[in-house]
Amino acid sequence: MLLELKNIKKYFPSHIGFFGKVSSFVKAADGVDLTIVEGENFGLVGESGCGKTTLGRLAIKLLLCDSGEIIFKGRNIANLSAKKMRVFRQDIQMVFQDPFTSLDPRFTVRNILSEAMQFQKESLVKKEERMKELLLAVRLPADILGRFPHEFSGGERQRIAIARALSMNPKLLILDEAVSSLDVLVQEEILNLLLDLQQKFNVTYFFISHNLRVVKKICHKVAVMLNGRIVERGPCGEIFSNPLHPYTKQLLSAAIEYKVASNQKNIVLKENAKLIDQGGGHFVLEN
Amino acid sequence: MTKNGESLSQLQMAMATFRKNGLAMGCVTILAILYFSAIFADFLSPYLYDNEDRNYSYCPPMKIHFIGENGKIERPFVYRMYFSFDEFHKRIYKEDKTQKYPLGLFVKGKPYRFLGFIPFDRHLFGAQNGGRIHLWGADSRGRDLFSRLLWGGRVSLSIGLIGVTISFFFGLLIGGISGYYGGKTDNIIMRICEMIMMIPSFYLMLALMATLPPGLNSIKRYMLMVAIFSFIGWASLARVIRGMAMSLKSREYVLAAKAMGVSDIRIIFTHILPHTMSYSIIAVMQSVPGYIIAESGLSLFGLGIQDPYASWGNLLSEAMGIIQITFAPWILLPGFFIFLTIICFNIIGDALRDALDPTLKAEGRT
Repeated sequence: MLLELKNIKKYFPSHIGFFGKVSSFVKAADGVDLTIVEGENFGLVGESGCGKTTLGRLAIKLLLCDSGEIIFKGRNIANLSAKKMRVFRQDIQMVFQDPFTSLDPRFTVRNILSEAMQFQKESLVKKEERMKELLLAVRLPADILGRFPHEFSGGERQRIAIARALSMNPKLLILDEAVSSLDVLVQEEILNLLLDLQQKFNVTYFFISHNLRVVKKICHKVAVMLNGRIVERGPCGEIFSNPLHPYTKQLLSAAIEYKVASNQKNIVLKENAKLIDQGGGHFVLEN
Repeated sequence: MTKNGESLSQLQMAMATFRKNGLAMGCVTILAILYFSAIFADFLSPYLYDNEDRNYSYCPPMKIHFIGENGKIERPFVYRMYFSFDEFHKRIYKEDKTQKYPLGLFVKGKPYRFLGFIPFDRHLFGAQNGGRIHLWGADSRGRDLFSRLLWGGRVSLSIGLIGVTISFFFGLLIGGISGYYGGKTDNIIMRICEMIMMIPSFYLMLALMATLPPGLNSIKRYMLMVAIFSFIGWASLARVIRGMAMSLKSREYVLAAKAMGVSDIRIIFTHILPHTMSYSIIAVMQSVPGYIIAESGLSLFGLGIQDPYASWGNLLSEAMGIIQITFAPWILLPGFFIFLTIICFNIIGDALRDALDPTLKAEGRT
């Protein structure tokens, strides 16, 4: 068990009254449970605005959850202070959606990588050596350390971002829509690269995406999210071949047949619905 | 753009653009000359700031002669000036053609400490054989205006830079913290800023200066002026920087740094403040004149630097009466130098904005 999220809740106030009283919320995460096992890539899919990115940021504590437990390596890190959290920081890393804003335009590639390595006690020469190895690992030339991000294409930037995340030797890498801003061929390249890197760096991916094709290629387990709740989760093959929840069915049909089902907005999730075991690790939210 | 595999940073590219702006480079040259002459004022000026000779009260700018009465070219010299009174009892100066004082380089004068610590008694130029030279005239007490302008430049030119440096340090830091943390911290800091900005700054300065004990020496007075200017100056910058920090903190590279466990203060210094730099550099250039004017204003009212010490403001305070201006127009010279300095800073500020803007556009998001 690498990471376990238990009953995670995060409500954002959407309307604040005159006296600071919050009258309505956006429920970005409404009691989410999920488990990521070491070595098994986990995919989280759902339409935009359903709370997947928020969930990723909650897991890495870029946002603090309102309630719930984040259990990483057997320890609840949900309420750890920033200082104690530092030990865990290098074990969970994140690659962001937009490679054009995830790299500081004023930092050279060397600065970007050395910022990630700042807590590692190594000599400068050795760090430089490691930087070059990392760049070669993500299939970039090793002599680009002095360059600025604006000199690279989107795909190259995303590789730099991946190199940065991997430089900390994480156990879990959260990829938040990491390939969705790239064109299809570059996506394919990056996905193959990620699969390669998994062997080399012994890392597990938590893949957040709206793109089912990408998830299918890289993930062993999938969860489908709607309005801050997980409606269905299970092994990847099972979900794709035998979707049970109506929302999953819609999502799949929209992705494969490019047809939007007519009753898309009609799914209402019951207040206290529970995930029901369908056998073989396949859970579906009761309807 | 690439040199040995290392690339030009945005600032380097902006500086290349700036250098192409002839007018701005001219202003940089003028400022460089002014600052140079202020730094070496004690050596470059023929007299110390308090050297006076009442016989030369309101002496007009002297002519330097190269040709003697026999029509031959000699080394430069000045004639002795003598005065008579006209019907209004005002002094009329005339050259005494019988008595001439040759000018020399590295002449001996009153001993002083060069740059404040090296004992020295030579001046770049001066009149020999006990004569006096007043290139740009003298003031009411017969003190050389040229010398006093150079000495005054030390105060007037430095107070802008030091004041700006201090207030920008605080403005950036406080604005960065306020914007980055947000919430209550932000609320408290911004209310304090507004309290300071609410009061008209010149009157606040007058009030603060008036509270100072009267017997202070000029160095302490100078320090306190800097302190007061910085105290007033940081607030407006902090407000702008805070706004920028708020938008910058949600950038993904800031989130990435957070996820890597980089400390907050380090994020502010490496990922937030450098991105406000283009704005800050322009704002620095455009706020230096404000400090120079503030110093001149205070000294003009007699609240700043006190006689016999010179600053452009208190030199100008001699020119407050219409009689003095019509009678001895050269005492307006300090005003011209204030004007020149401010114009230069403003033109440089404009040019910097032109140079920095294209890179802002290229970055696309700032």
